[in-house]
Amino acid sequence: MAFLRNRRPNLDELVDALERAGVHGHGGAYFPTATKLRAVAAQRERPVVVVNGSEGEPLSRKDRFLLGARTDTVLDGAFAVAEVLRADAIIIAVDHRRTRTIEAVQAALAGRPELEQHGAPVVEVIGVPDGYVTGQESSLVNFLGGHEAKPTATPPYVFERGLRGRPTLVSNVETFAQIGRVAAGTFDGSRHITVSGAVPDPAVVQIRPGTTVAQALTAAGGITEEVSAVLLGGYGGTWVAMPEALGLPLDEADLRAHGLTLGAGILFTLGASRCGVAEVARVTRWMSEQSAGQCGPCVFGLRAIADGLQSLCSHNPLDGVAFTSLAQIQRWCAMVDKRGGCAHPDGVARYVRSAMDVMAEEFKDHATHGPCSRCDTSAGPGARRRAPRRTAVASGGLR
Amino acid sequence: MNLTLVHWYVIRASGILLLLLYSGATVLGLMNVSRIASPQWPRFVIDRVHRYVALLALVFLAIHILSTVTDSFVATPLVAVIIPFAKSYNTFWVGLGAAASDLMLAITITSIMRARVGARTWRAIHYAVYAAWPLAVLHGMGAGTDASSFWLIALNILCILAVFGALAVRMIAVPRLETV
Amino acid sequence: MSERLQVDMIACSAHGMCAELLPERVTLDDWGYPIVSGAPVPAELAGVAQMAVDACPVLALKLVRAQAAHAAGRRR
Repeated sequence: MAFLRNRRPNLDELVDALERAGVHGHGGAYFPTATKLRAVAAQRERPVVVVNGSEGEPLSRKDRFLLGARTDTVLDGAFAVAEVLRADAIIIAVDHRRTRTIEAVQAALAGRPELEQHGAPVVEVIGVPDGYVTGQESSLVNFLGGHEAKPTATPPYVFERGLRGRPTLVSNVETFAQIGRVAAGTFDGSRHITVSGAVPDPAVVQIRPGTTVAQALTAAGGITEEVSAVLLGGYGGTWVAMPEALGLPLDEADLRAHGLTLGAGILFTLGASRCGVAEVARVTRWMSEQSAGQCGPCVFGLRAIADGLQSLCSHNPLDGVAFTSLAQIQRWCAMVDKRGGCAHPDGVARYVRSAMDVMAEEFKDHATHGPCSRCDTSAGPGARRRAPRRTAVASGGLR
Repeated sequence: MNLTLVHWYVIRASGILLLLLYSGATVLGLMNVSRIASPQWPRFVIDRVHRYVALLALVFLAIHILSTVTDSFVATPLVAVIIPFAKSYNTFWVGLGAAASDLMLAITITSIMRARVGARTWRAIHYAVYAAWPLAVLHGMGAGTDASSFWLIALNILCILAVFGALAVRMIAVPRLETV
Repeated sequence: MSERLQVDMIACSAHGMCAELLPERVTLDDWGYPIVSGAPVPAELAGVAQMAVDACPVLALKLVRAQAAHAAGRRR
């Protein structure tokens, strides 16, 4: 169904169109957009719209690409949503480091006719911290409300009570771009993914339903070396074995049926010249440092997993960190899964467990023989001095 | 027996008991936050004893205040036990007691209604014990009839040492706990 | 009406009283933090469960009704 640009869709029309088009969130959670719109609309107070362009996932570039090169499409979606929800404010959150992107958005806003109308929403472009968890919706709303970029306890969810205590619709940049296309009648089901790793340069590629991994790699410029494993979904995603990965259709619903996900649209290829175990150790260390630091299992659990992985790759184990068995790492992954205030530990658990499954031989080799010739001898951020580790606590005794 | 004398003994006895009970409650509270426990004295037991001692103290606080204002020998108007430093026979020292009991009352009531006031408010008000306890001890030293007796001096030293000891443990233990 | 225990992991500071009081529903992980079972709390444990909720120094533990527990447990 096509909406003319100067005819205003009402809520039901837009929601129905989004439902028929099958639009889902592109920030990683893949939540049905129509459902989110309905949930916010059902609240009593006037809502706020937040365009989430924080893109804290290092492997993702699509959001800044879209904000820079498809700015008006994103804004079409944002204004359409604000219109049907009767929102009086739109906040476009962008990683504060992306100054060119911020300028592009501000320039595009200057020419928008919606802002000249009576009763137009107030639109702000706000630079947000570059942390991995910044883009989590409660964390983003928390920051925009003047607090830290850390997740808050839910319920209440942001759609009921978010920014300034009002219902807040937070969606990814690409989701708004798709909403814009649906409202204009030009949506073709395509989406953007970031392809990186064993390709000439990280590339943002537009794919259609049914595009395979192999086709996406070709569109990104082809592979520069043999690929040993594929990562879908980013640092909180899932590893997939080669060569089966090549033929995988990059359709999110299909992937989810097999326990996989593109997350925020990420396809990473591990070159055969790299050590997979070292890569996993490096990323896990980084992810453990990205913890908001609010929940025990995330702070201590991810640190333990990172220490354990590092012990497989390092010639100089960290102070007091003896070699950690693969079984113990698996056990800790299970222990942190779903035990945080947000899904950060879940992502790490998924990433590590799938790696240990797909690269089983390499992990076993490192567990038996120690670091390989391709391991970084410094194993990522290096043997840094850690704060005292919390050890297992039994009840009783002075601690 | 002379009723006025009995009355006076009740004020003094309840006062001495309050010194013991509130010092005990403070020590137990500090032990709890320092996570001191043993298999025979698990955390929840120390927590419960802490609460029961405080509630018991509340009972004796009521007795102490009631007996003070109904004392016909020395005039302490009701307003002086509610509003600190309102005029009474011993304005300053009684005033300290009024301040201490006001704070302890606020702490105890918010603790009973903790679920309703919320964790943050409850915790903020609970910190007032750091003012309430010293005020109570000073009140005892200044307003207490027996303050100069050997036993009471010994008791005061014991309570003060116990609370400061527990406080020292808390200052060392809590930062180490890496509470997340 | 069945009830389930739920813990706010952001508020939780690993005091551990919940696990002491109700080991049938709460165990501690390697770092002293509670692993709360989502299984319903039967009538005979209801009193102790309420005691555990009341004992938590940071009020992180809650008893919720079954349907509310399902919705609230899902994070995004």
